[in-house]
Amino acid sequence: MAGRPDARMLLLGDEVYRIKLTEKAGGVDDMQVDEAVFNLVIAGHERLFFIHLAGEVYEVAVLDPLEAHARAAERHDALAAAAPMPGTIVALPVAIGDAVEAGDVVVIIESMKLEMSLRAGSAAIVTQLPYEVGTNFEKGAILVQLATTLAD
Amino acid sequence: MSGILPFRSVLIANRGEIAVRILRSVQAMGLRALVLHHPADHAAPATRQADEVIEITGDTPVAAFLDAPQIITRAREAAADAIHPGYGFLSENAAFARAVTDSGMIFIGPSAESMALMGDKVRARAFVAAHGFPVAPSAIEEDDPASFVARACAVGVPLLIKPAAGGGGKGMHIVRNMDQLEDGLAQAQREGIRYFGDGRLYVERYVERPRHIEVQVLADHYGNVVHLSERECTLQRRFQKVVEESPSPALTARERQKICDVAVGIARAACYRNAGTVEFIYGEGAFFFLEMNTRLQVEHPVTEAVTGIDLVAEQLRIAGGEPLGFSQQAVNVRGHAVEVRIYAEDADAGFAPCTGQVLRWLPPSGAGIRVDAGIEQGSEVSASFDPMLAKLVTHAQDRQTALNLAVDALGKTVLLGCRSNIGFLRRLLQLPAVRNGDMHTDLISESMDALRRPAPPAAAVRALVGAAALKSRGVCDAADAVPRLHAAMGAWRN
Repeated sequence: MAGRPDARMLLLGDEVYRIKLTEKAGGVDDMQVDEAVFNLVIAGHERLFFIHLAGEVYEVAVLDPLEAHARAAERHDALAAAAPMPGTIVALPVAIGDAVEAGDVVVIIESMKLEMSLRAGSAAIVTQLPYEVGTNFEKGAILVQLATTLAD
Repeated sequence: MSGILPFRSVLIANRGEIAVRILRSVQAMGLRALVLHHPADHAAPATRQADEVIEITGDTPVAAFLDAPQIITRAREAAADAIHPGYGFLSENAAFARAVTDSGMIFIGPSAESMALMGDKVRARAFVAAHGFPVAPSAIEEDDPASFVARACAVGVPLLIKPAAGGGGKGMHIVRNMDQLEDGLAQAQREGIRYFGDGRLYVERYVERPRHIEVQVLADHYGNVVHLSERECTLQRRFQKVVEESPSPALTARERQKICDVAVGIARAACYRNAGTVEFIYGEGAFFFLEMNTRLQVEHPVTEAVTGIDLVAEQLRIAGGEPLGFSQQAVNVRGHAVEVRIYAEDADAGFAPCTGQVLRWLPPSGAGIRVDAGIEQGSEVSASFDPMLAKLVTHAQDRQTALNLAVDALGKTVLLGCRSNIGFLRRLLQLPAVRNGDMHTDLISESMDALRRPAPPAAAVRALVGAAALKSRGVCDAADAVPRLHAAMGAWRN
């Protein structure tokens, strides 16, 4: 998700949608997705939401970006920031040799006209930056390679 | 109007929706309602509405509600005049009924003798058969254990093996081929010992694709017995009822008259008093006695809806020694009523019970809609108790309208925080076989493919993900935290 609080955008698959939630008295909210309006009731905690929509209840789990990234990284390479989709490098706030903490933004990319940042999953040192600002990459490309020590 | 009842306060020895239901009639009659409470029950609406809450303890909450000596002691300490057992727990325990009476209180239900007779399924069956009422062809082991297998063979297939001490479908086996008989008997005996501590068996002719039809009766202390027509409870999962309705769409007027007369005859023969339900298996134009439940039933509201009679109020009056205030001729069935049971369960996962905190509970309301609920916002649905949370009952001029009203009301019922079968019930009530009244007890298990929740349409997924993102502080903070044009993005899993 991106955008200012009054004009959020949702990137889902390859599409971007304008989304807005209007809370109503009585607990049934209006959820707007582009021009469509859905009546729903939502309750939950930060990580798990229960949503009543059109007579059914759905459970939507929220994965923290750090956690999701860490998980994705664990699956492939514990210390690599991989591209979640094809796009362009917008900014590289780190340089080779920099020490980063968990949660630090290591690369900002643009995909489908939406910018997003990828963050370090744990404390590490930047060892490789294969792409320069302005270059394109494919989905799954390693944008930033990290290591726990320089010797790695 | 009722006269003066010989009790002023009633202890409700139950919990959940039925405690709320009983409390409503107790208080409406100007009586004090005392309600039991175990600490495991958070935000239980009955305790909030009670005139007095009586705490009980036990190793488990269920053990506390089954602890007859403790309940009777607490009831006496609180100077309760009468005890209403509800359903489940101690409601069909003859020793409890006797102990309540022996300690000087009034038990709101039948005599301990009636309960003991009907509680022993083999005895009840023999009693009913001896009085000339229809039972399925059968063979009972203890009549002559040596010849049991031969007599079971003579009943013919298909047959059903049942534990004599059984209930709830446990230890029951269908035999369709005589070669399977001895293995089935051995297995049922092991299960009978394991579940009920009693390996005695009986077999009876099995009615294929049967329907379950039951008759509500009311009887006073003066020999007056009336029926309040029938309920059909054919739609079941794992031997438990899910949908009940009245009248049954299966019966002709003649069959209805016959089955209701038989139920009254059985109650009369048993010198029964108070409210009771005679259950029958119905199939191929014939019906057979199954058992008699000596208590208020979960599904009593459908009868209340079509007859306009408050069954709990009648129970209280009968227990207070009043004669029935109306005759059989005065009982009229108006329209059609449907009840669905809202369970905390995952229908798509084999009806596995679910737990959680009730974050949002918005029951439906409107003309022809009744909701009996044992939960409220904040209630904790735990594995300690039965997973039935609430009942939705609709009443309309005809069956299709009542079903439509129920489908619509289920769609508006919001229960968030704990999985429930609400969506499943909505799909079930729309099955063609249900709409046509063409039901049998295996319909749900045979229709599971059509009853599973379909994947949400793509447009709904966008709304769901978007709503969760906008409600998630972490996601919004992340989106706002990235300087200016740089936005963060969450990852999603539905």
